[in-house]
Amino acid sequence: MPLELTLIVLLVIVLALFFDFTNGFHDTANAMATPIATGALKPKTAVLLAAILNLVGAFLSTEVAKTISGGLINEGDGGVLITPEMIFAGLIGAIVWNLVTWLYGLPSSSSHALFGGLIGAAIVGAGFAAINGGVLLSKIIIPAIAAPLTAGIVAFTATKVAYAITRRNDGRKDGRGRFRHAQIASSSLIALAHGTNDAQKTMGVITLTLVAANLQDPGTGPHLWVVVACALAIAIGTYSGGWRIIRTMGAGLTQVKPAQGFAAETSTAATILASSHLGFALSTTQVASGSVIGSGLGRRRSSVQWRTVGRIASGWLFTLPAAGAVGAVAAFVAHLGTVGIIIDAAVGFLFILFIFWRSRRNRVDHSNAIPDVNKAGTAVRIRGRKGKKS
Amino acid sequence: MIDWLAFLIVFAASLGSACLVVALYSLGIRFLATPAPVVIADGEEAVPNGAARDDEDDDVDDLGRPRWATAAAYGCFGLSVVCVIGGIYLIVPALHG
Repeated sequence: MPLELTLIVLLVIVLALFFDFTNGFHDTANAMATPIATGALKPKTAVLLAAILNLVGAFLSTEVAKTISGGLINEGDGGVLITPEMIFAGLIGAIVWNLVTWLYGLPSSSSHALFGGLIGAAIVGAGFAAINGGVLLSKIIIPAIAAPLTAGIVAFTATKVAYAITRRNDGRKDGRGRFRHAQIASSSLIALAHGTNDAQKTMGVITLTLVAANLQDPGTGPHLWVVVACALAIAIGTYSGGWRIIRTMGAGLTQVKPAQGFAAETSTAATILASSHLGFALSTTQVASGSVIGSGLGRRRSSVQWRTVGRIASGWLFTLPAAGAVGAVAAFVAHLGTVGIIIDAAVGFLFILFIFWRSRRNRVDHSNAIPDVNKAGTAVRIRGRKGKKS
Repeated sequence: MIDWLAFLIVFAASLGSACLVVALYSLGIRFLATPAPVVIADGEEAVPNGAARDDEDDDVDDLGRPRWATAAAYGCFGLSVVCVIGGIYLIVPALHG
């Protein structure tokens, strides 16, 4: 085996695992921003729970995709041969975009970043003909509009239902604090579903790279070490908690209250499960953002920060082209051969360091992600009081 | 090219299932928040005429709630748990093949 091939395969594996890690911390907010905001779960408990469920989820579903781009790039017979170099460049594009959006606290789809990076790399390698425009429209662009709209309408309605049923007109306690208990279940479902979906993507990238490098037979499932490594990467990423994105989702879009949070999470879980089982795939991040906005519109006395909504929407608009541009540049440099790949890896590494250094200027962590958490655990306290009286 | 029918089905299924689960759990909370009947005299119940209440962080009073309300509440919570189990069933591929 030539040295060059080993180097690129190793680099792809390392980058894929790092991408998996960014995928994890980018998406903690989808499940855990709202329970943290309402005080249903303490911040550290929430990310630990999400990390465990992502870990478990990753082992539950290890059937990897047949193609790396899901049909976006014309792969296979008569199409483009996706080389490990392209995957390498695509991963750099995806990681760079994931880190930039994280720095600005923008929830954005990690799969779209990955597809964008790969598309950019494929265009450099094989021209625009490599891209299947129809699939791009039907799998990325239309769902990007459909996901937040669907989830928004569902969450708006569910929030109205929750408040209508529990609203009282006799001045007595309405018990809405108790929605916090249910929030734990609904957000856990989202985290588990996330683990089964997203860790699989990285397993697919690594497995298909190994196949492309003739290190694994085509058509075989991922090796055990790939499954374990991907599961751990996404779980550690989730545990490290993308606190900036949690802040945006939990407090930046709208103030979240327990009944509303439960309605939003249930809508996210229902929409993701329906979409993944009824054949119209939607991005978890876009569904979760839509749910939070919809539930904010559905609750009385709440307001939605449309400026933040606009920032997030423009982030989504740029995800594919921006990750694509970085992927294209990386692919261009990678064409220089081993030297180019080393340059790519070095520049990528420096960029990662720069982002982390830049993020330290205004630190956001578990202690300050949500400025004013709703008073936590009223329901728990009541239970204690009851115990004392009986 | 774009499967609008699939999209509509996804939309309807999401809306239906989310509202069902939220309605079930909300009903449970509503039952749990059923106050003890206030008896004035001769078994006649007083009508509480407090102001409209629309609070976010309320808990419920556990004292004096009628038994049927507690039972109904836990029935609703039980049905919500069934929905969560259904969700887990859908998430775990080994369960549904």
